[in-house]
Amino acid sequence: MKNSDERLKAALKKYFGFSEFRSGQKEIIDNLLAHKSTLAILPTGTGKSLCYQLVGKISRKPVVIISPLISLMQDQVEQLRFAGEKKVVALTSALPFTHKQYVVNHLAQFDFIYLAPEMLNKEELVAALLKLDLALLVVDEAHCISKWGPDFRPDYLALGALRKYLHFPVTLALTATATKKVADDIRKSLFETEKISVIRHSVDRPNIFLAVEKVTSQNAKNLKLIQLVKRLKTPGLIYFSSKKKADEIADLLRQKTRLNVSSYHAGLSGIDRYAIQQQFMRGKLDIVCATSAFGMGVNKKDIRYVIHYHLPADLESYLQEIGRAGRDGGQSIAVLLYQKSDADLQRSLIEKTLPENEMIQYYMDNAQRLTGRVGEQGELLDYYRKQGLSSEKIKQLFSERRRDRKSNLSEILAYINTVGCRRDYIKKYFGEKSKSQHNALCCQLIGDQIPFEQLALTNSEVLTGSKVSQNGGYNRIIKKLFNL
Amino acid sequence: MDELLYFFSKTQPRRPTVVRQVLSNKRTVSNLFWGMRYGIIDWLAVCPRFERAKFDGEIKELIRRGRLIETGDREVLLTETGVKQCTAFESQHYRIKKPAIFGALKTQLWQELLRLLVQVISEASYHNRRYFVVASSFQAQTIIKRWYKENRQYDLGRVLGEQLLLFLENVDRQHADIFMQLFSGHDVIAKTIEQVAADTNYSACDVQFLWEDLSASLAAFLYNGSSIFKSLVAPLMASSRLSKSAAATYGLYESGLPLSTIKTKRRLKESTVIEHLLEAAIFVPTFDFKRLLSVKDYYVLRQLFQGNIDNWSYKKLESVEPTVSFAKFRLYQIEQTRLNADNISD
Repeated sequence: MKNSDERLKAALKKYFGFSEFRSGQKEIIDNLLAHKSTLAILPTGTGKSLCYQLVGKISRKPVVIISPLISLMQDQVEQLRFAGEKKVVALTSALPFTHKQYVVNHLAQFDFIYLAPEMLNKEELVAALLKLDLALLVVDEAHCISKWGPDFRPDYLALGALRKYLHFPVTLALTATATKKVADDIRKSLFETEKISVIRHSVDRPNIFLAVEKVTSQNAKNLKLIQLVKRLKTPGLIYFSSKKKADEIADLLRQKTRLNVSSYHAGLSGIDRYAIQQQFMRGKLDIVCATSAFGMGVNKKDIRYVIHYHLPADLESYLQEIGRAGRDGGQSIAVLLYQKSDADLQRSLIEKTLPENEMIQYYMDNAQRLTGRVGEQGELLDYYRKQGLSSEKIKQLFSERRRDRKSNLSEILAYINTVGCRRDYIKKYFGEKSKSQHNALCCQLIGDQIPFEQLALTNSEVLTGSKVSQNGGYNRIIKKLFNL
Repeated sequence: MDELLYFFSKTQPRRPTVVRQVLSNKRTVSNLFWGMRYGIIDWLAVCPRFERAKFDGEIKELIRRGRLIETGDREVLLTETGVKQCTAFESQHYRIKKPAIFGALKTQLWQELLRLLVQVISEASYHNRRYFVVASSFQAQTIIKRWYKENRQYDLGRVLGEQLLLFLENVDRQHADIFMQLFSGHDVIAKTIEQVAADTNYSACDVQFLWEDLSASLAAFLYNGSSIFKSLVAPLMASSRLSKSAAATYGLYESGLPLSTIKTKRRLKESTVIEHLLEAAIFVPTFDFKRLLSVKDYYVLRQLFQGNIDNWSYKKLESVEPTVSFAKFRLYQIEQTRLNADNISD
């Protein structure tokens, strides 16, 4: 055993340059190398992807990773390439047809194959997958099966069938946050009655102070935000539900502070997104105003705060997003800005994304004519229809979904309004038994002030000023670029 | 919006539709001819994704603000205010200087290749192999990988540095500075278009135009030079401004084949062959008009038409000499435009 431990460590050093595993990693890797399928629930920032990457390296067989977001996949491909891995590819609908075809025809040449779930509808791809001698099938962000599955990514629901078709390869389902209900959903959908190992680490991140700031108006929210960012140690991340607002507030913060601020969202060109991500990673930006498009693959260790300008849809997403802070273990803070009307915005989003009974009936009555013309809602309806579900069953599914979403919203509102320890509230929500020892560095109880000084999060240093604009004249840049 | 004023004239009534279609590369012979008459044919394909509704809305607004005035028959003229506004706009904003290259170059792919090339060579100049590659398509990455493999034995950093310095020597200093700030490389992070705009007096749109213009000009510079980078640009640069099909037809025409043979060989309708030849007449400086226009044609046309070419009407010709086709009439207009280039109003 000792011997194999040493071999594992040597492989870790060789391929990734680390001397020690982080908590949970070794347990997962041991399981997988012993051919045990595993559901791993580890908080963000604990190095989940390293687990399957190392198993792929050690077993010298291909690893297939199903991932829900193109941006996330591209980030991970880039990170693997950065680590010197050349045989890696992301097969998504964004690839031009001829390139997709090339990749499918040469699938065996790749060691790490990232797949968007919708790609699994392609018969030739699935046939090509069957021919591979897989080290591992990975389902990344596995909570999508439960949380996003019924809403946005029906294809995730078909992963159980894919496993069966591929003769039950060793599978690693990864997620950062999963309540017992979600974990059960994942098990049922992916593994049915198969015996698997579940590795769960606490969702709690003790070095992130939890705070909620209630405000009475949009204006008061902006003022509070300006106050916070002026006071807090950078770098920081501010999350928004809308691209427009992210741009608007980035502008406002540039005007009202001396901080370097940029916005980041799916509306920007790939090249601008790259630039902002790199600037932020290398400490040239103080703040990024982002939508959820930012972050999944961003591995910046020293983010000191995550502020939510809008109300997240549920505690799972909230935990995912604040998990970007303090990956270096240093004291950090998560602040949720809350205005009463924010809840209405979330409620209307729920109504907008989930079709009502009349709409469902209308769609089912006119399905032939409407297929492919009703946007996301239609896509999901179409999926259910093809599954042979009746109108009544579909109505029932959506109404359950609506109820779940509303209950998720109530949970996050309850987190905001809790009179007790916020950390305890979260742990309880995720079914964790241990209680926190509340103290001044734990969370802000309702009505209390944030203890900035005690947290040592006050910005006492000179601001970054205009680091971004230090590139200089063209001569200098060219000489710097090419080492002349 | 005011940048559109540039495409209109105080004296020559112009159709906004033609301007839009030239900018977005709709290559009908009529568009190309009028683009030539308006003196804006070099702007062909500069804005391939210009939305019709957006364009029409902007023209409407320019009319509402009194910068353009409608003159009937869907044509407009620049007003005195429009001229002033145009001049004022030009002094504050970036204007694309070499639009003609846009029509010949696969601009978007080139921009991707250029960013990637600079990064790959920059990192190699520091012997660094671990870096995050700038956002780029699979196609661009494949091209650069292949090209780099074939050429990495050369001192690429030094050569590319020299080529860039040489190219930027003849570019306005501020523009050169802005251009180079848009590249990432070893320990150098690009600024975004918005960030550059915030640091200068330019709008984001200006910086975008500057980037597109200078990267296209750089492509032409490398293409016309003899450095190692020529081989990267050449496959992206069209040798003629003709569409592929028109170029094929013109090739046969140039080799001396009669129209009837060209028609059979190309399996095209005669009218299509003629359209291709009209396109060639517009774009090919050495086009031989005399092969299609007889001495008699010239005589008739010369008798009937003098003065401003814009005002010539085929109806007038048809009523006098119906044997001279519309195509011949148009060819004569093109030839005369060429000969009287000075007559083109601006």
